[in-house]
Amino acid sequence: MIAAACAAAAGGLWYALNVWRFGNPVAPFVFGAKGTPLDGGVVRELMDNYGGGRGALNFFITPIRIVIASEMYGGRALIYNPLTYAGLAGLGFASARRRSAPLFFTAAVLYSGWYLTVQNARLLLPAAMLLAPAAADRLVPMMRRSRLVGVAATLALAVPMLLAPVVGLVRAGRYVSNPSTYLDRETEHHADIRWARARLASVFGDVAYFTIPAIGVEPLHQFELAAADLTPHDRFLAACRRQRITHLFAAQGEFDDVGSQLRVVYENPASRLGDVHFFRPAPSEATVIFEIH
Amino acid sequence: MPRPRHRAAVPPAAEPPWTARITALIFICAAVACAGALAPVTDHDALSYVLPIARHIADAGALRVWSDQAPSMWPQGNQVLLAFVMKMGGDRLGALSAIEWLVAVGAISALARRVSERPEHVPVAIALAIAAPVAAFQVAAAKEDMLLLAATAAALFCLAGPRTAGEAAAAGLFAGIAAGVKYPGSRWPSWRGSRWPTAVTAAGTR
Repeated sequence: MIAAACAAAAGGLWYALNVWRFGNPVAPFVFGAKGTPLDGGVVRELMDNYGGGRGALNFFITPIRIVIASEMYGGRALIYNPLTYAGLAGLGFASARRRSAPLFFTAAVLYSGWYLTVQNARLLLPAAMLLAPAAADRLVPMMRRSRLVGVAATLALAVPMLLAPVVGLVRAGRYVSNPSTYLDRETEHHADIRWARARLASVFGDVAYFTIPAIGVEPLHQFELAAADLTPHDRFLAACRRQRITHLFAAQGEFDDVGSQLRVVYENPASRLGDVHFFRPAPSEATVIFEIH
Repeated sequence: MPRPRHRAAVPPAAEPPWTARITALIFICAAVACAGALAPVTDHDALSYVLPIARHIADAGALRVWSDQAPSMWPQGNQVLLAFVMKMGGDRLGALSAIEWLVAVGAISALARRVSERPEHVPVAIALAIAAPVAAFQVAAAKEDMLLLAATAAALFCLAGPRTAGEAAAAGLFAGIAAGVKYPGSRWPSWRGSRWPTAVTAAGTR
């Protein structure tokens, strides 16, 4: 009772707000968000973009699939240490069950919720963390008994343990080496954004959404197009004109079929895509900004 | 008064000296990882919705659901902290998640000490919990994962301890913080999979 009251006091605000706004404390999950386009079906479709299904058998093999087919669950950069699975062996020992009961229970609840909603491996980090003490209790005796297991487990821990400081130092080094170009190198289409901000914003007062992050947009600068207006491109440009859109950012070649209605004002043959790889060079694509006639 | 039932299995006197040294090395690794917070945030999800929502909160001084940010309808505990940092003039927002990361490592360490069978298992437990790509790349990402990790570890630390009213209250408090950071057990897609439609973008309005 005390715990529930404290939990409600610390975190209840968000759920109460959603009951007030949408009649659903966990909006837009389960029942959607009333009054918005996010109904239950749309939300389910978004959630299905991740993972490998929700069958009963799949519930038990998904922890393995996360490791061997990580791209379905957000990619390798988002996986936790699979050695934590050794903690599940603790369920076979009464002493471990007694000692770690709240941890096992909470991990099971987190995993079940994750399995039924968004299967992004990153979101399982807290559940994996809760299995870690029980996993250590099972692994350390094995590491002591067998030198081979000891070396393998030590490597499996030391290498990813060193990854965190290496990532931190590399990131800091890249920034310190040339702070003025850091965002161009590390975020998506930043050079294009910089150009548009300098040229278009000075003329029109603001620049609206690219497909890229990092530009906050006031509601007055947003616009909405119906899905039916997206293709063909003639119809799309007509919709842009109706909305008083003057410029268009696109991949090179994407609007060749309506080239006569557009004037190229900016080209970037190698616009960087940021946050795709960390240790390898970022991929790039040719981009262009058109003025709509 | 409920009878205290401390489940700790780690008698301090039994701790071998190398345990402290390895634990110290893990904390050094964790601290060095924070160097990435020197740089501006570049994480795609953070730039797509975490920071824009925090900017909205900082500018408006209110909690709303903004039409350009559908994710603003779920718990925003971390974004409120980011908004506070923005309001104070801070521009190295990855430092917040780096601090949350250090708190998380401390909380995990305390939890491992409380529930591990033997003291020499503690550093291995900490390493198992945090030695992974997902942790390495989230340290300076300014996202909510590190705060969620810290609050979850702290709540379970209390739940696994003596059954006193104080521990129950603290467990509830930390569980509430975790719930205020992300929907517990039900998580949302990184916004990467649902970008805006094709090239409807760099547009000025006449």
